[in-house]
Amino acid sequence: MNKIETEFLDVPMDFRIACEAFGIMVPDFLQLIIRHVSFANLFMHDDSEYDLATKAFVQSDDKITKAQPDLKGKQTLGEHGKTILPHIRSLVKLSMNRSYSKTMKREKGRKITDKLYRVCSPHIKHKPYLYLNEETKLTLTKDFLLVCLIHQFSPTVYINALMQCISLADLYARQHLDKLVYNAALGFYIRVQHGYGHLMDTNHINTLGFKDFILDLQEFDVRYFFIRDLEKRTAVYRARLEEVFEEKINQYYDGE
Amino acid sequence: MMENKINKLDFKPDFIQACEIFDLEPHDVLQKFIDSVSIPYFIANPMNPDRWANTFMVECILTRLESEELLERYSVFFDRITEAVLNDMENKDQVAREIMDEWHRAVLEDRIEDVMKKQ
Repeated sequence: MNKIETEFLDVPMDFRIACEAFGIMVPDFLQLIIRHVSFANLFMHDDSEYDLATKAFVQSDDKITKAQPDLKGKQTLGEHGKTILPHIRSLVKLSMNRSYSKTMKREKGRKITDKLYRVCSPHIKHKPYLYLNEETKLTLTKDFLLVCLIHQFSPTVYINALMQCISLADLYARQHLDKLVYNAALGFYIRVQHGYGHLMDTNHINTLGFKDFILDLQEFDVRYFFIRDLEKRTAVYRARLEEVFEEKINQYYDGE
Repeated sequence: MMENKINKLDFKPDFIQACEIFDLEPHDVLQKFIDSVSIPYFIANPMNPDRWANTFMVECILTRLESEELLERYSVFFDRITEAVLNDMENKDQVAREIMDEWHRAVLEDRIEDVMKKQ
């Protein structure tokens, strides 16, 4: 289990490959998924990108706990329960209301979340932005900060854990060995890869480098069919993806 | 050498058409494919430019690997080939060939046993 960096945003190579190989810029992807976090979706379920984004962060709890069980913050909201609970109850009630559409529920949920945020904001110690590097700033939404507060993880830890959930090596190894598991972060990523959010650089998709990358990827299952162990298959895929990314894709970025 | 059953093959019109237009003997085309298939070599040299017959063969193999029973029964051979390739042994194709020869013998023995049990 990879260690989760707590001080700064640490982009793992697997995540960088998943994004840049498909012409998606890492900051654009992170900003999109953060903007899609909907606190109300913690209490309801639908098949929207908002649901996937929210569940993606919550699901990465497991990754953090396995890597560093002591990382959970010490802050609890118990003593502010009286002011917080009514809003939580409203969200639960809203989630059970069958007369609203999913979009309406989300909109009404956002209004309740705004009220909740006003109550909780004095207890949120994190700034509403984070720097990916000196030049790139990510804006953190109210919903995202609330999800962080409720789950007692800092935005940095949560984003770092989320990035570790997105790996093409893991995705294809699982797919080829028929061992797929629910992974909301990957679900959101696949929607972006299929065009959601219009983040993909179409010029990149037309490069020879990208076509060579895809051709190579398409042969993985055949080339490594004899490796039946998931961990070993993932490691082999990872090594080859890094190799072919360096050879075919990085050239394109370097040439810009 | 296995018995040649090529006369029993059903040639589809598109295959015959391609052969006739370009003056190819169906037998020669199939022979070229057969001669190019070597799974131990492919396992050891997956990037070889001349790999297309092997990739087609593995595509056929993949459908058989959906059987849990087969995977469990012969997992030891998969593991040994994996070890040989991942540890970057010298003469990988030779090692893979030896393992596949053993695997082949094990499959034939199992089939004989299955037939005996049914009688």
